[in-house]
Amino acid sequence: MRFLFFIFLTLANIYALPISSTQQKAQVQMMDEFNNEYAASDKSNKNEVDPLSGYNRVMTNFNDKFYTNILEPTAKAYKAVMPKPLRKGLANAFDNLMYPIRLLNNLLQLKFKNSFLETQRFLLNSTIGLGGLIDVANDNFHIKQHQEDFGQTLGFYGAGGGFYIVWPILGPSNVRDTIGMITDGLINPMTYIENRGYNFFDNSTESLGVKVGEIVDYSSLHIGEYEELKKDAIDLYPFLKNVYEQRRKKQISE
Amino acid sequence: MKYLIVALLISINVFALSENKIESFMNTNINKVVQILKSGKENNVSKEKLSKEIFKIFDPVFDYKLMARLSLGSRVWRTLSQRQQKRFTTLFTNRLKKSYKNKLNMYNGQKITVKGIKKVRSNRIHLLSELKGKKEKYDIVYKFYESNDKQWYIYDVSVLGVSIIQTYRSQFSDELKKMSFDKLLKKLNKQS
Repeated sequence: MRFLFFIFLTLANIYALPISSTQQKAQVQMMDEFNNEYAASDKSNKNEVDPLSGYNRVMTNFNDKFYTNILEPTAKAYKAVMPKPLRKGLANAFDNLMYPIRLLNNLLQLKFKNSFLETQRFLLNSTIGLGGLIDVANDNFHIKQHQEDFGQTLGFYGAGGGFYIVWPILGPSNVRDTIGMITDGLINPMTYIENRGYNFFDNSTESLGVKVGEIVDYSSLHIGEYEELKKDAIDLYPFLKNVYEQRRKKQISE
Repeated sequence: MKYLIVALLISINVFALSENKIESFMNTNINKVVQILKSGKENNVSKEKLSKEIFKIFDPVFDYKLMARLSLGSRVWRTLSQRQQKRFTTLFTNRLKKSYKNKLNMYNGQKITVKGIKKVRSNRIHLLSELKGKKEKYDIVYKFYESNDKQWYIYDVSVLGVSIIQTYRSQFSDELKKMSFDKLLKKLNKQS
């Protein structure tokens, strides 16, 4: 028995030697492949200029404190007094009002079918859905929203993101998406830019008040999500920056 | 003695996932996980217990060692002592598991469905799945690679297009600009 085992070990050794060297080669090749797979994104990470990194870090911390100490408690208090159907209804109504932005950007990206579906959603929700309070298009007709913004439209036509910018309260963005945000703001019926017939509000104070309401309402439906995401960060700044960039890249490719 | 040899031979390949079994394996086991989560929610089972059950199912397919290595990048990995590599792998694996465990609290009856597989290269397969709530929808992609023993393992997961490994790569490279590797180990240990 002992002899048998000895033979087994010897054989194992004989075979193990040549195998290990080919294995080693295969191992090296495997790791090279993995490196190439991640290299493209790494490169954009390293070469990327982050001229605002000092400001961005400070603003990331400010937003973090703001979300945790001000927005979250406010949203919780709001949640306590407002029944869920009402909060959801408001969020739906705000969403419904953003229809012109989605329509325009779907059209600009030549997504005609989605533009049609968005129009269908808007008509259904504005009528049967009681002015957008109920998302009947999604709940009863299974027509999903097709979110597109002008940042994505610019990306669709090949614009790079440019450097990273963290905005107060609004959070992560970059040059491309900031231009997108401003452009979308011009067609947003909720913003007061100038006296236009289709504006909802007479002045920018009213508009700002509603914007704050929208943010609080949205947060009340997503309590704890930011805190949960944050737990995955070793260091918040590079974490949020990378998540933002990957997410936008994906949205543009869709 | 005989037993020893038999045991040796058996232990070499306890778990094996071949290419044609990826989809059915994931389908069966994702359904199992949803069942575990559902009954866990009804019976108020602690997330420690739930996560243990789930890890028992999925641990064999996750190549945690490789995930740890990829999240640092080969260039850094090569410069480390074996002790450092081991320590890092342990801390990193625990971190991934803890992060998953924490998210179990967010489970609220969502459905998870396997949508199919996509062979992106001869030795890479993406398993596409979807986590669906009443309104929200999250695409989750499990990335498999073929190891040298011709078996398939998960090396990355991406949620809504955000690769977990990529977020760690950018964070670790940023951290290592500011601190030594041993300091990073200390930081990871402190956060765990």
